[in-house]
Amino acid sequence: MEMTTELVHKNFEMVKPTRREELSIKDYDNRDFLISAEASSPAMLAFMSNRYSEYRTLAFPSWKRLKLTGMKLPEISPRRSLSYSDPFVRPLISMKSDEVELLDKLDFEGLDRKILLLGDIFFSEGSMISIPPNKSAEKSYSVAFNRDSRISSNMFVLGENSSLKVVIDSGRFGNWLLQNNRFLIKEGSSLELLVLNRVTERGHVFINNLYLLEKNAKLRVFEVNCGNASTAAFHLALLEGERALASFMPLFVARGDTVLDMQYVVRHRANWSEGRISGSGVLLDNSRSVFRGTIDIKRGAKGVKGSEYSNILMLSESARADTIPSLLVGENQVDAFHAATVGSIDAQKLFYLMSRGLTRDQSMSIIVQGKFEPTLREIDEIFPDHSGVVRDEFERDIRY
Amino acid sequence: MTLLEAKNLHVVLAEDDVKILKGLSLTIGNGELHVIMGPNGSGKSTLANVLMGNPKYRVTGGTVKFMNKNISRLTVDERARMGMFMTFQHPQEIPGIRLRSFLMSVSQSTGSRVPLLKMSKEIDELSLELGLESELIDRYLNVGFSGGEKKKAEIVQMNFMKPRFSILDEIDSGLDVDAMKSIALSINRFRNPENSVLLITHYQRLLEYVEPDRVHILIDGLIAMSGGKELVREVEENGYEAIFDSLKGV
Amino acid sequence: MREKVFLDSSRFDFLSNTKYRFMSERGFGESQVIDISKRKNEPEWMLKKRLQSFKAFSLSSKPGFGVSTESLDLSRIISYLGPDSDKHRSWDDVPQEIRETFEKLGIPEAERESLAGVGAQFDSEIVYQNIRKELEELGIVFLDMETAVKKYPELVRRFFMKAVPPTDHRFAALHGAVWSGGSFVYVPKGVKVPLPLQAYFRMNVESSGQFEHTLIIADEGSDLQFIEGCSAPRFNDLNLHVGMVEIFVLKDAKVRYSTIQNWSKNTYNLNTKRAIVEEGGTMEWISGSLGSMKTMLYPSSVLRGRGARAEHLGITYAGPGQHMDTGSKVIHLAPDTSSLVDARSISVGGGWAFYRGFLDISRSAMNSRSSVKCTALMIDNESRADTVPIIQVMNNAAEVGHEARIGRLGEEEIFYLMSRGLSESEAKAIIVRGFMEPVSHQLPVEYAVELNRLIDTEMESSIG
Repeated sequence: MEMTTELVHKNFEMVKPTRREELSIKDYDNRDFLISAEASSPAMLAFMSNRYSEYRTLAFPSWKRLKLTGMKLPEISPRRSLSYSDPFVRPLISMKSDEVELLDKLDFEGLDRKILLLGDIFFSEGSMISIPPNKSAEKSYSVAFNRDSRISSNMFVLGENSSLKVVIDSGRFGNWLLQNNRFLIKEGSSLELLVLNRVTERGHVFINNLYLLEKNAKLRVFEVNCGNASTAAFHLALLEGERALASFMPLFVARGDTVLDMQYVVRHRANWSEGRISGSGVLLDNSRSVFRGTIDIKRGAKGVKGSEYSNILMLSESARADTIPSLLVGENQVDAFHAATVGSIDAQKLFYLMSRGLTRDQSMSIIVQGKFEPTLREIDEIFPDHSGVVRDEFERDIRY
Repeated sequence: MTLLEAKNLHVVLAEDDVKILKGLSLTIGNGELHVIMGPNGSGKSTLANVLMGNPKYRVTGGTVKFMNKNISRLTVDERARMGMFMTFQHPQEIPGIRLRSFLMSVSQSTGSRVPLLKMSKEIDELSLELGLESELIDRYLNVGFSGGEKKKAEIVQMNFMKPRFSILDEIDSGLDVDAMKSIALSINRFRNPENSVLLITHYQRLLEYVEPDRVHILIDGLIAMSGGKELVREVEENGYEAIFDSLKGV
Repeated sequence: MREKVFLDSSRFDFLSNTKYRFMSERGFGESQVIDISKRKNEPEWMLKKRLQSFKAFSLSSKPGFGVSTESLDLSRIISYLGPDSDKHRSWDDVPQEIRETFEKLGIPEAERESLAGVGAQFDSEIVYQNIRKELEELGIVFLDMETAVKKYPELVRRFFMKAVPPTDHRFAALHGAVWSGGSFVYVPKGVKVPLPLQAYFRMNVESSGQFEHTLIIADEGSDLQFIEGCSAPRFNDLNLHVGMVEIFVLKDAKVRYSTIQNWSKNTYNLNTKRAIVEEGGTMEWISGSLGSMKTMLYPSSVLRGRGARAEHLGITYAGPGQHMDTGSKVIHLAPDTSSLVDARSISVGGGWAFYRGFLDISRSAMNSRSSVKCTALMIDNESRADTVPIIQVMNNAAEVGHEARIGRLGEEEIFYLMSRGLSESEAKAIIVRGFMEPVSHQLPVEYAVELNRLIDTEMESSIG
């Protein structure tokens, strides 16, 4: 299992903070498990049972910032059987043993082990998408949620030298969403992913994504967080093959009392791999964000370039931005760098725009827009069908 | 007497084995100033760096002898202590050590017994000659120096260390006319019957002030043509293409 | 396996056979705490404070982060020792045996002239103090902590463990219960201390703990520099250092506190340093952490008054067998405050340099600015460097910038220096020295020289 933090060096130990437990949540029981396990293939049943035994030994975590106190889990109802017209897509629940083996291998801690396991066991919708080698998928794959599928678990396998675009859109409705997504990006293949979280209801959204990159594989992830739900997003990219490239470009706008907890980890295990995390966000009202970017370079990964940028704009007196940009380096023939800034709107810029006749709100909108524009333009190019939705979210009123 | 002799030198980039020099031969005698010219990418800088022993490049064939000694296994500092020197095209900025103290510690480490005060005075005189602001001598090595100042500082170093063999890697790039004249003057003053200079140049302008003994045109990793100063004018008038064509018998 | 030669500490590797007046039983218990207080003839209020701390200690739990303290067995550590002499005023009054120890340490009499005053800690107690007349005339108080408790009770009581209360963390509580020795400095309003004040201390007997407490109060408009330097001989048994430095920078005052820490390679260095800065005050922490086996050290500045400022400059060296968990903590509580952090580390020969930073800009710290820069140099491939900074901003009128870089010595720079005839290790040593220069520049000359020597030896032995 891929742990999120493994701080160890020779025979030195690093003290790990103790995991606190949240005991106020009513958990699923065996009945729920049986409903979930219905119509599963023998291999999947074995997998899910295994995971369930581990699940039962854990309590929910008590987090410092994003409180799970009194959280209500969605009801488990019988899985809908869907028909899959696409030859590359198969239901996760009926995967064969070799596919399940892969699913088992791509194991990680995610946001928290308990939450990851929940997704692996109680998913109401799950697909295995397998792109054959050398195939360049014409359209982007959409993993959309509907009111009934709150918990989703998906596995994507990109064959050698193939390419794929995926859009994961939360939609506006629902007050509890959990996704586990695993991506195996084989040699020479390329994945472009847009994760859109725009749930308007107050509630919880959890995302656990794992990406495994082989030699020369490329990954680009755009994540847009602009909903009102408290969101915990976790992305872990494992660069296992030489010259693999991973870049994460998160954008966020937090309003009201929203809490956004975002974590991006790029773990370099191979020579000449490159990782980049570049995030921008705006905080309004009483919102709160935690931006954790980690570049983790393991010993032996020579020639690695790892960089991290985060830029956060505070637009209200009561907002709060926490940033934890970490560089963990065990190999000295590398270049690891990060730069983080937190600030407010430049008064001079505001004055300049207003002196041209724009109102304060208009001026601020322009300045804020300017920050996000480069990334938004990339989204326009790569995901033309969805960029409209994304832009709408950012064009909404941004009041000081 | 031969000071430097390169025979059939084959050089690749250590990182990815790309071939750069493909059998280059060059002989430089005592007291001589040779010029290497050539289009971009011909391998001029590589030649300079290889002679100096930059681990970025790997010699895959041929030999280099300095003062009759095979230097291919010597590290860069060993070559420096034998009397080789190179002015860098992009001199490195080294914060934390001042130019003056740097020169003095280098000098001491190579066994010089000149008293410190005398050394310090010499450094001041050399920089004055070159028109290098004296306060730069007491700044951190190359930190915040302009392009021209960096090149002048390299020449101050050369004059101070008095090497037997000096490689000037595009010392003229990025210089205004006045700076170029000062540097040319310095080079001329530096020359004597015992030492030699290998001048790698992109522009021909410097050669209006410095008199070469021999000029070589480097094209695609090999010396395509050698001659006297007249070659310079030919390149100036007709460009490298013409030389290339003339070689092919066009 | 190559034998590595690091800092030549043989100068200090000897055990003086001085008699000890009192040696407490190994381990910590309430009776011991009372004993310590009685021995020192402390006033009732100080005994009470000690007991409060001890209570906090017994209720505390081990820290949830940092170096592992598993192999630290507190019960085996002698907490208090008092050498065979009382506090003295002049060098000539100090007993022969102890004078010899100091001479071996290389603190010559001649130094008295250039030092404003020397408080030397000898096994938990100040033996020798020398305060020059000028200081006294200016109204500057520079005493050992224990005398200060008796002579200036009001002042001490007002400030003692107010910056770091016993409940702050486990080792603060431990410290509060068994603290011994240390310096007390009070600078009156508007006074500028003409020379840096210095204090030497060293640990002697096996398994001795060092729990000195330094309390500095810089009254309004004053200006002070304090230099702390320490070394300890090598031992087989565990050595522990749980000292504390509390600095109160009052309105418009300025304090610069420089440390070079070079405890022997089997020491646990769990030190707490904190400054509270009032309106217009400036605090500068200059730290060089070279020694000890495990270190947890996070100099902190609490910017409590409007316009307060903090500058943290630090160099951490993690050589073979060393796990250094160091960093800075800056908390902005008032408007117009500013902070600057420049943290550098070098890891070599298998060492681990871990930077832990904490920057907090509270709701009320409007128009604050902070700039943090961390750079880590990994000399070879055996070592490790990590930076984990936490930045918390809670208002919308602050500007915060944080930057970090980890890498090795530049190949191009090495080649350039070697082309001038320097050997590979000489070239690397120059680059590393240049890297440390902004910090070593601020340290007293002897320490800067020591630092450079260490680096040179290190570079030589790491090539091969």
